[in-house]
Amino acid sequence: MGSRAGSSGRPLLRQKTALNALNSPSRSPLIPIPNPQSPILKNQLASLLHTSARWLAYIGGALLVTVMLMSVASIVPRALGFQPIQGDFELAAIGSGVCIACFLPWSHLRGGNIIVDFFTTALTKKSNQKLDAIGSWLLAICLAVIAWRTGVGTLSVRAGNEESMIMRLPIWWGYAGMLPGLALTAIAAAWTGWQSWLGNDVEHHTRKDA
Amino acid sequence: MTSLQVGMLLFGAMIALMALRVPIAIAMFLPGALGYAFLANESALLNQLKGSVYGRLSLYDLSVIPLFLLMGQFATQGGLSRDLFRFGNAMLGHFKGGMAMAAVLACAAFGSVCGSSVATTATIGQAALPEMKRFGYSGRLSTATLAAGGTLGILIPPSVPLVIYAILTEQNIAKIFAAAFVPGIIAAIGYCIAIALYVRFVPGQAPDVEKAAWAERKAAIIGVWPIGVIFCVVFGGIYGGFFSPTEGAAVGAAATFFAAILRRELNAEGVRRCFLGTAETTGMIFLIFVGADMMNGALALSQMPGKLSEIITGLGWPPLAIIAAILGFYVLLGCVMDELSMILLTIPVIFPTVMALAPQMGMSPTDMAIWFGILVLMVVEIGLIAPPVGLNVYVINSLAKDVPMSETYKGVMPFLASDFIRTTLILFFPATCLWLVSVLFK
Repeated sequence: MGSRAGSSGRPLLRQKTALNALNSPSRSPLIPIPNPQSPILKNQLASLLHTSARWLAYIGGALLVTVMLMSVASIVPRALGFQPIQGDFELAAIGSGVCIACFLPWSHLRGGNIIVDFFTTALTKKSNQKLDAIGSWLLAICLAVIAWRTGVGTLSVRAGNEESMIMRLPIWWGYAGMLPGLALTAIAAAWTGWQSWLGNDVEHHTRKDA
Repeated sequence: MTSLQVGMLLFGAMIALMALRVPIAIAMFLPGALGYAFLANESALLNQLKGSVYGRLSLYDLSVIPLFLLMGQFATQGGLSRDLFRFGNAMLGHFKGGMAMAAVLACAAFGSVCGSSVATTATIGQAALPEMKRFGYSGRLSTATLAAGGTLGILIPPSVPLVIYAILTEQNIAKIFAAAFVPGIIAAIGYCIAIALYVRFVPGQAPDVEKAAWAERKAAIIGVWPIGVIFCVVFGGIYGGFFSPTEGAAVGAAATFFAAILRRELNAEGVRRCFLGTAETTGMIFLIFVGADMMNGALALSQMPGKLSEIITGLGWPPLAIIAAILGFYVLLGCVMDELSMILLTIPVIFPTVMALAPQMGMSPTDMAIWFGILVLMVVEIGLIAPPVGLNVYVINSLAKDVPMSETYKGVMPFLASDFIRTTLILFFPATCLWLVSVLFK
């Protein structure tokens, strides 16, 4: 279903999403200076972003399944009266933290970051897109700051040799595991902002599940 | 500036950003961060941010949310909804309007393995809408039934909004789930009564039907027993003290996964879709969490919640009137704001006020917190189907494109009436939600 990074230097293509609109394959991959308006760059960027976000979400899903299986595995011996795994909840907490961070970029690209469109229905599509661009860029800035601070946090937690209470897991693993997700969300938001600014469609959910 | 002014300023900035289409999470995060830097200083803010996001995302109690969402995804992709609807129809199909009642029953049953209202509406809607249309139910009744029925997804445990409420107010998740159970059953019955009255007094909404045979009922039960077993294992385990809610969610997700595999409804592609679906909703919820945390941090620094509590309790109103006023405020706020963000943002602000009323109400703090949580959930439900922007109505509208949204809103009215009656009932009789808690947690 997805696109793979081809070795031939051809544009990365075929996304199932709204990006289909952007997929106008160009046959000249050798442009010396990347032009921001170039469909190739747009396609490659779009495709690269979506592919990495999707794979990160798969990794997050795999982590979540691991947490799930681990929790089940810790119940079974306990139910049978054996000694349970000590401190398994610490692994579950760290694992689901990393998993959630891995989910963030995909969620953003799918328009998972809810906006309220109630007050701006009277505006033109163009003005709404400009507002969306600003919104996305603000999100990108916030996430970039969060990623930066979590990075600093990683270093200081590592320097302090902080460990979890029971299993003595190094806490900095959890911090470090969140960095790719946070950073990619910032990049993805910068990109969706740019797309909105150019007037291209990006996915939006106005209100989502409670 | 007084603390109240700072709080108002932060709130105003948030609403303004939201109105300008800034993502809700960021509309809360940005004023929160700036307010924090203003009230403390920049280095305090930067220090706070070093660990706050990690702390929020890797909280053991919160890992129940992605797990319950994954469980709901497995149930959705596993094709359980058709069997649930068939089961409901075999049980209730002999009443006039019985198929609509069957849809409510199916929603309630699906809600017992799924913690989200949109997923419930969409899943049962896909199974029930075509059937109801085929048998001559009006578009108005069928879409309204599913929009309202979907709210049972968050009322009958598991429930994502209740988990969030429990964590914000430091309550026991298992107790809050238990408290929602009786109101959930009252809601399902109330919706069925609403349907029965509606088809009786408004002609042309539902066809006349025949009685189902017992053989058909037996066959239908065979299709749904896995859901019954999963529900009993998950909640039996939680209330029997065998495992924590997170472990219960893990067991439920694993069991739903295997049920879907055994039914040969889930392949690798389906699993991938489950992951992506879980990722989408989880990411959304937790980013709002991060934003609301920042905002609440700033509000706490401004000491606005405490001041607000003093002012409101200083009014000298009877406690029930204050609670009712808060709920009314939520209904209004729910018209423009997403319900989840509303809970995340306002509960930390309003909760001290509510707890200050507990002695006057003659309730223990825990009882008060649980009861108020259920009341808030009722209001969230109303917000999900009430005009002008009922989320569930949007969802069902995207499935049944031939029914205009105004028709659905007309059909939703009897269900809204039922919601209001139930909310009033719980408001005046807290025992409706606290009784089961007292039985299960002696």
